[in-house]
Amino acid sequence: MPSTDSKGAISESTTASPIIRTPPGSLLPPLTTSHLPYEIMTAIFEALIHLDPTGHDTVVTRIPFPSEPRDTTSPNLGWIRVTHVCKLWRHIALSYSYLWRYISFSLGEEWTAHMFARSKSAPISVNSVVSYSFCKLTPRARDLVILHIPHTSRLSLNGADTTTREIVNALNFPAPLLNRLEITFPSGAEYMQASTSDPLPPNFLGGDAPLLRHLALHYDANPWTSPILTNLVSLDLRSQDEVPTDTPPSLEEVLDALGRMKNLERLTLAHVLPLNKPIPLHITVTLPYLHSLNLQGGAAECDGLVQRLQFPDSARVTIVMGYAVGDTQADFMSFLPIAAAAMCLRREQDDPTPRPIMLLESNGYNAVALKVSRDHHSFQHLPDIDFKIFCWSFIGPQNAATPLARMACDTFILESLQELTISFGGPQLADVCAALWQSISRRAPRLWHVVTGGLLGVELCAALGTEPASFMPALSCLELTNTGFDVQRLDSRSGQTFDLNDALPRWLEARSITHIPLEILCLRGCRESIECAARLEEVVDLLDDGGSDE
Amino acid sequence: MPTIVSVDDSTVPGEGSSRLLLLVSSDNKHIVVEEDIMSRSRFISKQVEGFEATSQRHAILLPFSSFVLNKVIEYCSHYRGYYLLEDDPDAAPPGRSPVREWDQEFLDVDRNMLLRIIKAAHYLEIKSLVGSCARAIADMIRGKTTEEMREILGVENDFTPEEEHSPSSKCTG
Repeated sequence: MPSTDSKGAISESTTASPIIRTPPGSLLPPLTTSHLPYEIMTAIFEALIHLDPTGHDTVVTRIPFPSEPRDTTSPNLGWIRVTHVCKLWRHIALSYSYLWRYISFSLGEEWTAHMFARSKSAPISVNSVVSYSFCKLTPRARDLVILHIPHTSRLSLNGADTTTREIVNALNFPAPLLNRLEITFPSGAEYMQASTSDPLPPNFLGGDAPLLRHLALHYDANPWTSPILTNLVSLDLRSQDEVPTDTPPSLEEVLDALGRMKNLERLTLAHVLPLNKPIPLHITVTLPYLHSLNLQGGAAECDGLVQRLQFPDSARVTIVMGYAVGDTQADFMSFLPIAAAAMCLRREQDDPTPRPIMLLESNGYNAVALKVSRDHHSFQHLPDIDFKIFCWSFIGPQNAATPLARMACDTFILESLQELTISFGGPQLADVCAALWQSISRRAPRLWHVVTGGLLGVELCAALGTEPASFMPALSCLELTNTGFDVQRLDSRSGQTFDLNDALPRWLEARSITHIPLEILCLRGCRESIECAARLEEVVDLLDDGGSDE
Repeated sequence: MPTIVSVDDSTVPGEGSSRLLLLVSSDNKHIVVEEDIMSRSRFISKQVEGFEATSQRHAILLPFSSFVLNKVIEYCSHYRGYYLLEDDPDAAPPGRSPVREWDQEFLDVDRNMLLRIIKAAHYLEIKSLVGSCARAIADMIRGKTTEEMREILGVENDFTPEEEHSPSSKCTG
């Protein structure tokens, strides 16, 4: 850090008076902004743009044009209020085109038109977010966006409306200054009468955007054959519906495009993965600067692409391989070899880096996913992996967390399991809960953090107070939580109502448990937990010395 | 333009490894400072290059008081030898970067002093200090009404009633 002795190198010559202390500014002749050079005022306004931006990015309202009745102090004007302070400020703000480069649509089309005009030829940033049906871009605003593309450096279009789609379709000419492009057609756009199935137009930007470095297309754009996919630094393609794209590209097309992006640093492909048709495995693409790879989609597609990418070991890799909605028969164990192979990694014998982490996560009631996350690590054998398992779900006829919870019962997984979250209930899960309890109580040598509720939580807590020290030796943090919105929960075994907050202190007291070897015992979920905690304190010594409680 | 005067050798102490500069404030205070410290100032750097060409020693007369000059020197001393992105000639315009914690404390002065510091920093071409000051001033007026802005920065409303209320001001809010 810089020196704190900031005056150490300063001295005064013999002709100067002794040490001069900085007086308060009030002792100096008053100075106002009218004494400041033009450049300083523009710097202040520039800073204000970021602190007090105009309006909102979302078109939810509009400010009346000056000819209409209005509240001139409306906070939505943001930094533009400086034009009302005095003649000098107005003159500076209106004449410095760079200040008007952030084009907002939230104040209405008159304001938008003036922003475009005042930006003159400065590189502009256009950000349009149309969230609601009554907030459509006007045809005039649409035409302005298209007209000013030649000096647009950043274009962000997010809208479920036909006008936003029209802008995209009309952009068939070069964008010489465009550096960043983001287009999102939100899912559910049908009610907006906009088609989200159209891919990126073949002649988009005339195929000529020489400065384009960041591209994000959040819809089924299928842009892989477009010449604008060249020299990108970040590429982010996602299908909004989280289902595989209707028009998947071929693996050859994708590899060909990626081959034109040698400087690619961030790659995200979510539900837009290429078909994993058989092509020679030796066809690979090297991305030497890649430091973030995110893939979401089918296991075979993820596998097919990753096996053909070469990138630095230091890259952070996240792969989410998903099953269809409510597929309770998912075989997670079969995913593991795929994940390991997909990593294509080596682990040296004396590699000092921490172990990689494999996060296995069920995504609530609706889907099941396997997420593999790697950060500066490599591994060769599955035993080198630390597992974290999060099962989140709700009571229901189909429960996608079930197969993942079963997977946690596996001895092989338990050996490396570090964190476990079981957050679901219902009688239909009684078997898996019972199996899980038997498994983790038998052997889970590295498990240090458990989040659970219901009977499983109470049994675990009680066992900690009665079993020998070798029982779950690493467990130091136990979070007991109600899994819903009510205190009364279903006992996963009997189907009877079960109140954890009532049962916990009662069970501990009945078994004469006076000490639980934990550093953290957390009771969460409802107000009754506070009362429960108070009762527990009367019954047991909850914590080890030096620990903390919640 | 700065005024440069020849000075007697005796007013510039030392001939050591670290060269010394003599800065003369508008209230005629002579402040000796190591050249290294002031190298963040592009204005001073250019002056020093000029000295080397003439092989003469000079004092640099500056159009602001010793109070303000000392404050600027304090800033430059603190960041002596450290690269600040904002000082890069190719960096974005000043005012966009967040204010560093030390700068916040350093700039915790009244409005008059703050305006004088930014003016001096602009004169000395210290982009990072201009940016920090600009951000601090912008922070003072963010979210404020126009009347509050005038009050905070001591600005007079010089609009005629017509200028202030007429729509001919063309979308100025």
